[in-house]
Amino acid sequence: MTSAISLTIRKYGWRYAGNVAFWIQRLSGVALVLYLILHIHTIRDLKNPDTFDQALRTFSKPLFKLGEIGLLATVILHALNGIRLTMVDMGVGLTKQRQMFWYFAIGIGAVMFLAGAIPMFIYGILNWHA
Amino acid sequence: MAAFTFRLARTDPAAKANEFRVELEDRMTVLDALFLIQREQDPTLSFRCSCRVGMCGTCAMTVNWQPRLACQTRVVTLKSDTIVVEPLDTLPVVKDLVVSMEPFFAKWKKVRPALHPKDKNSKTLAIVPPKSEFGKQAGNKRDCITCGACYSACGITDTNEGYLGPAAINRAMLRLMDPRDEMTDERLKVLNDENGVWRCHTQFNCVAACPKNINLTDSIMKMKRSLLFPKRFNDKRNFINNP
Repeated sequence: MTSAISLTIRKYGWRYAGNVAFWIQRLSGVALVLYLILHIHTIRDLKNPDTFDQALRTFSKPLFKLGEIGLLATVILHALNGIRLTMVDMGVGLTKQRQMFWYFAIGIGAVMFLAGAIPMFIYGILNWHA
Repeated sequence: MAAFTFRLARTDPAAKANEFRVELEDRMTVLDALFLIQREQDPTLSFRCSCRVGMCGTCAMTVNWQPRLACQTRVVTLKSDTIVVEPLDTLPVVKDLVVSMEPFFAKWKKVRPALHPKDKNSKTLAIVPPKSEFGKQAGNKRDCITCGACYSACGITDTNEGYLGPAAINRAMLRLMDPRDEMTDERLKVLNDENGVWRCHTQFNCVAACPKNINLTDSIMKMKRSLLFPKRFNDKRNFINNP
């Protein structure tokens, strides 16, 4: 069973990269829409300074910071894969779509994510001060 | 010689078994293994095949969760002791590994796949330079053997019964570019529909599945862009001009 799963990932992750990319794009898109609804809903309710300050204190708690790191990952994936899809739609690099997904959307995406997530983790969650 | 376990999809509840142990030689294919099982272990096993050399597209089935031609898949290349063979996804199962190709060919007929020439009695040949646009496209894309692998791999045909599917769109594109053909408007109308090219979500599953390595998504994307300028197909000389 485990060998079947690892085989599936090793072999089909490359061959069927477009399918993986499609599902990532769909799921991250839905997640971002849900986030935007929540985001706009909370901002709409913050009308006086006291509740605004209190809300910001709540949002600086580690749990919300962790959520922000997750949001960063979702935005990066959706944006970079969106660029890949736009290029494919324009007929650029259709034969290189697997490379564009793994090296561009996932590879460069991971570097961008770490560049943002590490400082967020150190200053937001560990509350480290120089 | 090496032993493999074949786990086959069976539809008959009275079928003796769905797991078979077979000894295969290095060069034997999944189709060879199926024949071996049918001859030596269970004669009630059903599957389709015809040419055995990968040019008829009859033996497409899902081998280890991927649509492939059974006759073109050597068992050792699957790098697994257990081989799971199932009928093609999306298409209705008739028995065991046999599917009905009816939905696939219904879509295929919708795009009018045959050549409808301007002059039926013409004795002159069309000259298609290999470097012209049509020449480049036709080189590999007319290799389609209508095996249905792309149709079964596609995630859209799976959920949307109306979608034409990659193979039909690919054939329609070749006919639209063909300078001898005149049935342009009818084909464009079928393609420029909500269930035509616009239903494709560029999952590239058809490209991954195609046993003939046809870049089907490229055809669909080309048609999407061409449909923005449908007048391109009025003068087909552009497709056979040398660049």
